[in-house]
Parts: sequence; structure tokens; C-alpha cells
Amino acid sequence: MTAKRIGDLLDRIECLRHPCDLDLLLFFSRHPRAYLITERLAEYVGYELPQVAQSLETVITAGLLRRSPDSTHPARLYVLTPGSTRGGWLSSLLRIAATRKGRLAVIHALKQRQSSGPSADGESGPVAAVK
Amino acid sequence: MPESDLVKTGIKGLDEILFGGIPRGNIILLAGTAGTGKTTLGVEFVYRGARQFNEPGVIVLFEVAPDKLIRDAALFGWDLRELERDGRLKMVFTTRQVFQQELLQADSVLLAEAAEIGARRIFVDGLVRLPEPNGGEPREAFHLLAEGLHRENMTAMLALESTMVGPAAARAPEEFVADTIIQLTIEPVQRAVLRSVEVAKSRGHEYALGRHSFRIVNGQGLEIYRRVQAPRSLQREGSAAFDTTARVATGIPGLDELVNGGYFVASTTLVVGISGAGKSVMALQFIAEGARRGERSLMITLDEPPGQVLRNAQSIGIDLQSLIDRRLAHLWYEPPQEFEIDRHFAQIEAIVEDFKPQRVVIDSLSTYGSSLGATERSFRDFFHAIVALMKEHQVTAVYNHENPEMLGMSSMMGEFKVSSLVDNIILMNWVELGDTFRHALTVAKMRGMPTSRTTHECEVVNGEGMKVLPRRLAVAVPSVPFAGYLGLISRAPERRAPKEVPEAS
Repeated sequence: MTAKRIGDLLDRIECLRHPCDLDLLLFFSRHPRAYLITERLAEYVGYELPQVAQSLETVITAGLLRRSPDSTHPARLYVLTPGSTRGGWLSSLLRIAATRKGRLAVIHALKQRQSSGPSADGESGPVAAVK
Repeated sequence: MPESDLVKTGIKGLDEILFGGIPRGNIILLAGTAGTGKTTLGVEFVYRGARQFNEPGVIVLFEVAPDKLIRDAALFGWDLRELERDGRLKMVFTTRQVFQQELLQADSVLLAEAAEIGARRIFVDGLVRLPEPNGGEPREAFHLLAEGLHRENMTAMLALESTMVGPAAARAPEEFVADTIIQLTIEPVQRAVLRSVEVAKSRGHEYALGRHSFRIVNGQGLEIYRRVQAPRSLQREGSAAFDTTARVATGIPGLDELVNGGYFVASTTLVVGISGAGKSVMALQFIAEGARRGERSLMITLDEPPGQVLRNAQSIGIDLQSLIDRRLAHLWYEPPQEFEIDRHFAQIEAIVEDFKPQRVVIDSLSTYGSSLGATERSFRDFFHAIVALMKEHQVTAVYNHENPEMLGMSSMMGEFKVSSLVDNIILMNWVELGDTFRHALTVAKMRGMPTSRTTHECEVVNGEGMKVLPRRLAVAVPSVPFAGYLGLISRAPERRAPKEVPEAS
């Protein structure tokens, strides 16, 4: 596992920006079909609700996750879609992030991108939000 | 009930206990404390349904992550990922609260997911006592849940976490609503543990009552062994040999004459004596005689491992290994520590059905007694079951039983009171004459045949085995024949006066 390999995978997957994006995907890789309310999902991954909502939009828009349509049900069904275009790269990244050391390396890479990239939104302290 | 209306679980041994399966649409409650095997049973129910009976299924999880379940299932050889890829399985991770509310919805997302793959089975793992949403009775809450599942015409298995065991658990309100209740327990026996399963209730069909033991076996899943006491087929219970002409030769020179030419076919013979009295030697000769006649024999040995039995056979001129290689003999050894009698009996049944022996030797019955406890009914029930099994398959069976009394016998079976179940009893004794222990054999019981109950001397010759000596010995033999004594088995034999010695018979 090298920083370069992680960087390559993040480049190919493109959409991942925030550590919460990664942790959501890690959660769904362990629970590929989860029927949950968003509040519980936020508790599972350990981020604030607004961040979870934003990250969900990110991965759903990227086609990595499918969510059941909004309805009268308070819970939504989330289905990981590893067969998407980015599925192979995502699987490789999640394999790396499956260990503590690997996860921290990917989060480190994401933070570096946040601080140096043109899309950095000034969010300087995601570490505090990462459990 | 027609078989098509029954859902087969596909779990080894369970459908036999359920007399074919569970009525379709039943709500099945799996009750038991942590570690009793509820999850394994439930997952296997869904896995076998999808794999063997073309019935897709859904697994609902509250606590166990699906990836762990997939990993654990792989230990049993169940590829859940493959079933998911093939659209025969969906695993949904949710919370109990969401699940409960979900089933009350007319347009349930969860049940729509199940319908998408045509699910016929659902397993919900880790239910706890359900709280009523409006503060009502838990029984009502469970009833609503059952209704939701029933609406989809799925056969549902629900694992209910319970910290209670025994009668307290049986009062759980969910148990009144469920159609079928399967109680799983794990209990200490000596210093080991025994898993057991009991169908406490099942609406719409008959099933085998009582607690049956089971194992969780890597590469297989659950293996359930019907309790040994449970009645089998009527055929088995009514079986017996009524052929009064056919005889099964014993293989002991001189013994056939004492038992009217041999044992009856499918009879039960008990050979009783202290260790070293020659019981195992007789057993090996019984097997060798069968092989000589082209008959297959099964030897179940509990006390001696196979290598030792082979060596013993060699010492009396029997090449047992060759008989095994030619499928004329089957040697099955199970050490008696941590016996699970239901499993042990199921294994014997399987061997008898597969190998189809005409002769069986069990060495020894007393080892079962030590393991099962002579004072409990288990030993007698086991013996009754095995006698019925052998009679059903028309097997002539010989059971060795170690009697601890070195000289003489005050009782044939000691505390193991099963002698009334056997057809023939042969007593093997040491008789101390002068400074020598000599072998004595008495045919004490021959059901359906006359017997003289005369005590005969026998000897075991290296390389040849045992033979019963004629009552009148050759003149050249210096020792005094048995006929020259009184009270041989009474522990205090007396020499007759020479003039009192009767003529040979």
C-alpha cells in the first residue's frame, strides 16, 4: 500500500472528498443492503447528521450507492452498487481502508486533497469529526 | 397434510423430527439463549431453501453485520454471496424499531424487496421482546408482526433472544402467537456440553416430541440426531425373527452344540463375564465365522482402538484387516468419553443401513452403562432402541458385557437391568481349581430353545482362539473335568468323590 496507489484510486473514483464519504462506503461494504433512518446511520458512522446527508448525496450521485425513494417511511433502503463504473476501483480502495492503518492513510490523502485542491471549501478540521 | 404443503428445512435430521417439514406460512420462533445456534439454524433454513428447494429467501439482521454472516456461513460451505448474485437471497441490515414499524405498513419497502426475488422464506435474526408501539402488550406487538409476515405468504423464522431458560422462557408471550416453536438449549453434561433442540409446538402437523441432540459441524451446518427413545417405524418395533430353522453359527468350536446349532437369526445374545474371560475373543471368532460363510459383520468397539483389535484378532489366527478390505467386516471405534448417545445411535443406524451387516458385535455394553449411567433410563432406552434396530434389519447381534465379579456371579447384569430384553445369555467365568484360573462357560438363557445350563470348560489357544472342551476330557489330560466338581459357579466349588462322578452326557 503506497500513498501513490491511494492517490491513483482516489483520482479514478473522483467523487470522494470527505472522510465521511469513505466511512459511509466502508459501512455499506459491510452492510451492502441496509434499511435505516439517517439518524441511526449517522450514529453508526460517527459524523454529524448534515455531513452524513451531504456524503450520502455525494456517493449516491456518483452511482456508488442506491437509495430507495423518499416516501412516508422514515427509513430508507441503501444498496451498495459495486457493479458501477467505479466499482472495481472502489473495491480496491475499500480493501486498503479495511485496516485501521489503511483507513487512516486514505483519510490522510483525502485531507491533503481538501487543503490543496481547488475545491477545498475551507473545512480545515475533519479529523475532529472522524472517530 | 400433503407433503407439498410442508416446507422442508433441508437441515440434516430436522425434517425427520418435523415429520417432513413445517406447514407453509407458519411463523416459526427459534427460542434460546445466546450461543445456542439460532442464527446458524435460521441462516441454514434460508440457505437450503434457496439452494435445494428453489425458494429464494431474505435474511434480516439487526446486530450481526452481513459481511460477518457471509464469513461465518462460509465455514459451513454456504456461499451466501453467490446466492445474492444469483438473485436468490437478500440480506438486509436494519434496526428492530424500523423492522417493526415496517411490517405494519401496507407498502412495506422490506417486503417489496423480498417480493422482488420471489422470496418464500425469511429469517429475522435477533428479535427481542417486542414493545408495543402504543404501550400495549408485547403479545399484541408480536401478533402484528406475524400478521405482516403472513400477508406476504412467506414462511418466517424468527430468532428470539432469550436470557431465560426452562419454564420461564416457555411463558414468553410471543410463544402463544407463533405457529411453531423450536427451542434450542445448551447444557452442561459432566464437564462437557450438550446441544439439544425441541419442537415445543407446531400447528398443523405432527412432529417428534422431546429433546433431540444436535451438533454444529464445520463444512456442513446443523446435524440433528433424533433422540434415541423416539419411536421409529412400526416395522422396527414389530420386527423379529420367526424362522425357527435357520441358525447362525457362533464360530466357537463346541459352542454351537450347546446352543442347538447356533443363535436364531436376528436374536440378541449377551455374553457376560469379567475382563479377560474371553468375550472379545468369542466376538472375533463370531465375525470370522460370518466371513467364512460370506456374511458381513460389524464390530462396534468402545474400549479398544482398531489397531489393538486387529492385533488381538491376529493373535488368534484371524486376519481381520483382510476381512475389512474385502468388505466382510466393518470395524467402528468410538471412544466413550463425551458420548452423545443420540448421535452415536444415529451413526450406528447409518452404518447398519449402509453396510447391511448380518452379524453385529458390540464390545462392550458395560461401557455404554458407564457413560450413560446405569440408574437412569437412558441406558435401557438405548439398549431397547439398538435391539429393535438390529431386529428390523435381521441382524444377529452379540453384546459383550463386563461383569465385575472375578469369581462366580451373584447377578448377570449387576445394576444394568436389561437381561429381560435379550434372547440368549452366555456366562463366562473364571473357575479357580488348584492354583489355576480356568475358563468356564454356561449357557444361562436361550429364548425359544431348550438349554441344559451345564457349565463347560473352555480354553483359548494362541493362534487358534477359543473352543469349548468336551465335558469328558481325554484320559491323557491330567486335570479333573468340570464334571468332577460341585458348585463351580458358587465361588466355592467342591470336588466330588470319584464314585459320584456322573457318566458323560
